[in-house]
Parts: sequence; C-alpha cells; structure tokens
Amino acid sequence: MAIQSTEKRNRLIATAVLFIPAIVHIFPIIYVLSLSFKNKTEVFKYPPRLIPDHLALTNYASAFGMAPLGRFLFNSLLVSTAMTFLQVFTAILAAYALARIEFRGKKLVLGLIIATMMVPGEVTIIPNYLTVAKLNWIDTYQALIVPFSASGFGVFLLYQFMESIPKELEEAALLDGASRIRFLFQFVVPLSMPAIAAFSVYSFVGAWNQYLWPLIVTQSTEMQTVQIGIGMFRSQNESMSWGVIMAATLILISPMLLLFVATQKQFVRGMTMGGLK
Amino acid sequence: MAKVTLQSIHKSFGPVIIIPELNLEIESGEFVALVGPSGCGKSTLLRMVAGLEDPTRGTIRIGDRSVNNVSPKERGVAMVFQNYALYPHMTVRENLGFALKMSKTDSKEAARRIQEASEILGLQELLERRPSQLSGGQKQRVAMGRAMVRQPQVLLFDEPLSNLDAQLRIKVRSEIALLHKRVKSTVIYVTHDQVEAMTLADRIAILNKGNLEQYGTPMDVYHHPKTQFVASFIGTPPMNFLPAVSIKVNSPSAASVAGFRPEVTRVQSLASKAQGGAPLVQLGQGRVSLVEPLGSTTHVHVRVGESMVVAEIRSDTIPTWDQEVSVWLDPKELFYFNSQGARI
Amino acid sequence: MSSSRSIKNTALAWTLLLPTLVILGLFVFYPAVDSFYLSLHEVDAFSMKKVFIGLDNYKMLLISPEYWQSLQNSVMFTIMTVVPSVVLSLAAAVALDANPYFRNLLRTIFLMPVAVSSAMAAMLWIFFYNPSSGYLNYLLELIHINGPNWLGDGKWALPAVAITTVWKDIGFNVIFFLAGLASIPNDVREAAAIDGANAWQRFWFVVLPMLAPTVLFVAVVSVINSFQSFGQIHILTQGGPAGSTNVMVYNLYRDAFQNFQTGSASAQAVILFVVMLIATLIQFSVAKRQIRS
Repeated sequence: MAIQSTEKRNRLIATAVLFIPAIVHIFPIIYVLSLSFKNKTEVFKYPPRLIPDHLALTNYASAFGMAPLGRFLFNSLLVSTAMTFLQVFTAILAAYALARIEFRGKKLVLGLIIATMMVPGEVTIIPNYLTVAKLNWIDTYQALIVPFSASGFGVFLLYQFMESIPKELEEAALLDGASRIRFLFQFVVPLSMPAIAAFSVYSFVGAWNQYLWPLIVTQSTEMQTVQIGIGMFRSQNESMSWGVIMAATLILISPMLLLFVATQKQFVRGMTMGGLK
Repeated sequence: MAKVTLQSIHKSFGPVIIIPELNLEIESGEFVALVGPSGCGKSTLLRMVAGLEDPTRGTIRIGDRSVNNVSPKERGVAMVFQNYALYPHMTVRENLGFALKMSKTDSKEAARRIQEASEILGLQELLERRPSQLSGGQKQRVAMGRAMVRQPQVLLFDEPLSNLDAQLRIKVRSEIALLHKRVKSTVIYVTHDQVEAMTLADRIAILNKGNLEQYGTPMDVYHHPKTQFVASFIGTPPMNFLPAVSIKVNSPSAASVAGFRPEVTRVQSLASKAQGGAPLVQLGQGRVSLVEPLGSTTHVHVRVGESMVVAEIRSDTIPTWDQEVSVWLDPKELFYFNSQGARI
Repeated sequence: MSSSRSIKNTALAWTLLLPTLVILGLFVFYPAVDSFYLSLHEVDAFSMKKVFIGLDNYKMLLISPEYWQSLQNSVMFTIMTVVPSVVLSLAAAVALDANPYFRNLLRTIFLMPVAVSSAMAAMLWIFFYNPSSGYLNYLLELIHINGPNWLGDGKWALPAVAITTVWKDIGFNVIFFLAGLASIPNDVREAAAIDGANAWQRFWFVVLPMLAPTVLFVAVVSVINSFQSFGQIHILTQGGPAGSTNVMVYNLYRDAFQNFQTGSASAQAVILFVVMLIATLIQFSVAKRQIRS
C-alpha cells in the first residue's frame, strides 16, 4: 500500500532497533539489582550470572547496619526540601518586586541577579567554605542550606512569567482594596503555578544531587547526605561485601527513581528548565 | 496530465466512518474543486489521492493504473499545503529544486524548470531568500512553484488560500486561475469557500459528511441544486428557506421546504399601493430587521413568521428598518425540497 | 502617583528583594570577588595569613605539569563524553519519535538516568568495571577481548568515567531532542515525502538541518556540564591512577581541601570561571537562537 504501510514498516524497525539499546541502557540497574542479592562468594564467581544461585536477602538489612542509610535519606530530604522552599519563596518575592513595582535601580538589580546565573559553583566554593567555617557552621544543616537558599535563576524564571500576567488584573484588585502582598499570594502565585512547579522540581533535584559542597562542609557521618553517604561504601573492605554495597546503592537511589517514574512529565519539565538557563 | 478515478472509496478510522461510499471521476486537465463544511472528508480524500493516507476500501486510479499500492513519489502527484510546508532551512531555489534533486533530475533540466516556474510565478527576485523572509503570498507562490517544477500528472491544493488575508486571497486566486490556463494540469482543489470553488473550478464536487451530494459545473450546481444542502451551500448570500406550507403559493404536496435566492427576491413597503405585478407573487409579509447597503446592491433582512428572509435589491429604493413589507418573487424561481432534503 | 505612594512602593520592593540580595550577595558575589582576591595571595590555610604575590599563583600554574595535565584531561573528557552522548541521544530520540509502540515504557527507560546523580551513576557502574568479576570484562571475554583493569589503568580510567557519564547524560539530552523533533511540523515531512524523499533522505535533508539549533544547544550545555564533572570522578577514581582522571575541578578540590593550597586553588577557580563564562555566553546566544527558531 501507499505511504501508510511504509510508515508502519519504518515504525516496526524503529521499535525493534530500539529495544536492544533500551535493554543496554537499563542494564546497569538490572546488574546492580542482581548483585544486591548475591553473597560475598557469589559476587566474585566467574563467569558472572545475572540470577544468583542463592538469594542473599540479608544484604539489604546489612546495608542499614553498615551505615545510617535512614539518616542519609532524612538529611537529604530535609536539606532539599528546605532549600527548595527557600529558593521558591525568596524568588517569588523578588520576582514580584521586579515584575510589578517601579523603583530606582530596578534595571541594575535585575542585571545583577541575571549575572549570578553566569557564576559557576566552583568559583564560589573556597570563599564560601571559609565563610561557613568562620560562622562555625561546619557540619551543620545551616551550612548545607543557607548558601543556596536563594536562586538567581529562580528569580529570573518567575520574573519572566509574572511579566506576562496582565497588569489590569492587579490594578483591579488594588482598586478592590487588596494590599499588594495579598495580591501576590492570592493571585500571582496561583497564576504562576506552572513556572513555580517546574522550578521546584529543578531546585529539589539539584539540591538532592549536590556533591561537592556537602562533601567539604560535612564531617560527621550523621550529617552526610545521600550522595556523600554512598561514597562511604565505595571501597570494599573485609566487613562490607559488594552485595551489601549494591543493596545500599539501590536503597539510596530509589527515592529519586520512584519520584521520576511517578511524575515523569513534571519531572522532565523541571529538568529541562535548567537547560534553558 | 492524467485522469483521476475514485472508485467505491470507503474510509473509516476504527468505528468512525469518514467516507461511506464515494465515486468520482476527474477528467484529464480538468480543475475540480472539492467543497464542503469542516469535517466533510474533503481533505481526507485529497490526502488519499496524494498517497498520504490509504482508503480503507476502494480503488484510486491515476491515468489507467491503480495507485493504491504506489508511494506518493511514484504517483506523479504534487501538493500545495495550507500552511505552505516550505523547507525553512533552504532557499527558495533549493525549495523549488528539492524534488528534482530527489528524483535525480539532470541539473541542466532542473535549472531550466526552476527558471521557468520562477518566471511564471514571479519568483525571480526571491530565489536566494529563505522562507522566513517571505510574505504569506510569496510563500504560497513558492509552494505552487515547488509543485509545478515536478510537472506532475495531478496537482493537489489543500485549502491554499485560507491563511491569506481577504485582498491577497482574491489576488492569488486569480493567479491560480491563470496558472491553470497556462499549465493545464489536472487539478484537485480543496476548499471550504464556495466562492473559490465557483470561480476557479470546471466542476465542483460538494461533500457533506463524507457523501457526494452533487458533482457538476458551477452554473449547474447553482441553478440546479439536487439537494437542500447544495442549495444552501452554493451562492452568496445563501438561499432563503421557508416552510412550504407558510408561503402563499401553491406548492407540491410532498414539499417540506421552499427555497429561493436573495437575488430574485423583491420587497415592497406595505404602505405603498403598487403591489408587485405579474409574474411576481407575494410570498409573505414581515418586518425589516436589518438593512445592509453594499454599494450598488443592498441586502434587506426581513423577519417573515419564524424565519429570516434576505433580499438582494438595487440600492435606489431601500426600505427602512422596522418597516412592514411584503416579499415578492417569480414562482418559477422557487426550489422545492422534501423532508429528506432532496429536490422535487 | 504621589511621592508617598512611590516611597512606600520602593520600600516594599527593596524589602521583597532583601532576602535574595543578601543571600546572593554573601554567597555568590562576595565569593566570586574574594576568589579573585585570594588568587593574588599566598594564603596560609590555617592562620589565614595572606601575602600579596600578584600573579605568581597563575604563573606557577602555567608551568605546572600537573595543572596542564588536568586541563588536558578536562578537554579529553569533554570530547569523550559530549560527542558520543549527542550522537547516541539523537539516534535514540529519532527512534523514539518514530515509534508509537510501547512509547511510554521506552521513554521512561531512556529518560531514567535523569533521576540519577553523578555519584549514583558512578556507584551503579563501579562493579561493572571490576577487572576480574565485573560484567564488562566478562562480555568482552565472550568476544575474545581481554578487558583491562578499567579503573586502575592509566589509559582506560578516563574512558571508563566517560562511559558512565555518557550513560547518565543520554537521558537528559534525549529530552531536548524529543522536544526539538516534536517542533518540526508534520506537513513539512509530508511535503518531503511527496517530493520523493524516503525516510532516510527526509531525516538527512529536512529533519536534521531543522534540528541543528537544538543539536548545537545540547552540545554546548553538555560541554559546560562536562567541565564541571566531579562526583563520578571522586567515587570511581579519585583523580588517578597517576592523575589520568584528574580533571580541572578535581584538581581544584585536591589543592584546596587536601593540599591546603588556598591561593593556588583560587587561581584555578578564576581560570575555570573564565572558561565557563565564555561557554555560558555561547550557550545564552545559542539558546536565544533556538527559542526563536
């Protein structure tokens, strides 16, 4: 037949061709899953088989015994949530001021905030460490959260979004007697929800995945986040087998993976925000 | 130049039937318009001829061969899209030449055809520009040029003028008409605008919900509509319809609706003594609800009973708003339709 | 507007801006300037005594073989990551776009590394690279290749880290390419089909050129990200063996927090800043063009 059947054929080829790379792509997770059920001797058995002869279910329990995984997860959750909330909150206030209030120096402030988006983390890390050390904040939650409690990118994003909300809406509300703050939280925020939601995802995932800063700013095991905690497992010694390490990895990786699978569309939208910086 | 035959075409998407059963023959070199309201299946038909979609059942022939199993490239068809579909990253020249490049046409021949098409369509100055630098009308002409250089057996147009503003539409319409006279290819032209169909086509196929209501020359469908749908679709302003029983004329017993064109409808103020004159017969009375002066003619809208009647009259004697008037017409101009919409 | 209203407004504006400005000022602006300041000094990390030495830190870096190696490593790493990841993501996106079956499942699979951090990606791959029992060397043995000690071999450590990074980046890049492909109007593809182009010709002559801005954008973003790679290196190789995976950021980390060379590390930070600034400016202008297209 005409184009429809050639199209169909092309699509079938695309599917078949896609399944092999898909399996290759997901293989690391499958492999780690299989390792997590192997005991010490099985892990090093050669040739390696994907399905272990004896299912070592104790690896997962052992993982919790080796390091405070629950604590790591708690720390990450606390820090990421706090950071996201603070970034969103400060960005809403700042974006509103820039989008809706006329004041002297506005252009300068906007320019400065956009400039911060060009400054990579590496260039601020040493002085920030020194600042945090001076404040005696080493190994505390404040050290993890406060330096990142505002985001120039967030301000810029929300500013652009708020600009597109018609001015008449605000003028009508002000005439009706609403104060500006009221208007901000009762009208502007709900209207800006798509941008806020996407930015929240971006911010949360970014906070969760932070590595270098938590690495240098935490010392004790109790304060470590998931990313740093997993590093504890990275080299095997006699008491830790690779099976346990892989189990720990899967435990620590699952929150984000589950979040991703559950909210794929919003997750993806949030992540692409970063690219559009 | 080739004849196009659509035989027993049936098209459905799952349980949804778009076209129940359609037969259509288009002669070689003929300009046929497919008209109808949105969703009547005209674009689907066009795409089936192009090879972008397959009929669920039925045969499509171009020339004498069945093309059901033939790819669009092999069919010898070219298409002008509603949104132009120009290649944005190529110059006008490259756009025109793309199909020739795909068919590995000799470069001298390709250059000659591009030159010829640009001359006919007035594109010589634009050859090195990109589509983003062109106006809507220019883009449309490039789209036509791209179709032309292939010297196709059948030229397909998918609502090409709907994205242009009113003035431009009239201009490009006449360019299409001139083009057809010059190039004489078989053309299938899809539009929802019956004016375009009437002015451009040799024959018009009127479609309604996938059914071919009538297929004939413009004058044919205008003067001899076979169904109420055709009568209401063709002609501007649209035909007036009144229930057969309400008009003060003897109508056939099977008639449910009487139709008459605004151009032959007359209004007389009730106050004036001069009441018509044979052969004019009074249809009914009512109040003027709207007067639309258009220059040499005026459209008068009269509320007769429950219906609205429009009369197109000369602008020298115009009734006023809310005036009581009577409506007159030569009974020969009446069309009668039964309750199924067929003409009797 | 009366002047008291405008004063009230200005006060409100500055109040609303205050938190953001304070945090950004303290933790972005001040450090950026301070890094530059520190880079011009010899700094004792413990007493924080500073001696002004002008551009000596920079001069020493320019003659340091270790630093040059880190530059080279970063460049090699970027090439080894960006090129395969862009090509593979494009291929995957095109196949995903053309394919209506199992769409959600396949998309989820390909996009999934987006939810994985670089440290986690490293942990997922670490045993894969085990020389004696890892699956990679097992697969290679099946085709009669003797796999090296990946993470322990100076020649293979950087490619190994690159492979892990490519795996992680594919998810992110596929998203962008899918969006780019979706923005190509259907009728342009149909026009090409009618003009006689087969599927491959449609891709090569029509789809790919129209996708060019997206490809460029993804490439630039990938380059920027790859220069900032740290987590996977810290977990997999710690910059070794023999400095073969010591990229610029890792070298900075070592000098600042393990060797306590605060001044020199700050100079490295400033150099990195300049490199990133140029890349980010390119990204901004490419992004503008992409949004316009």
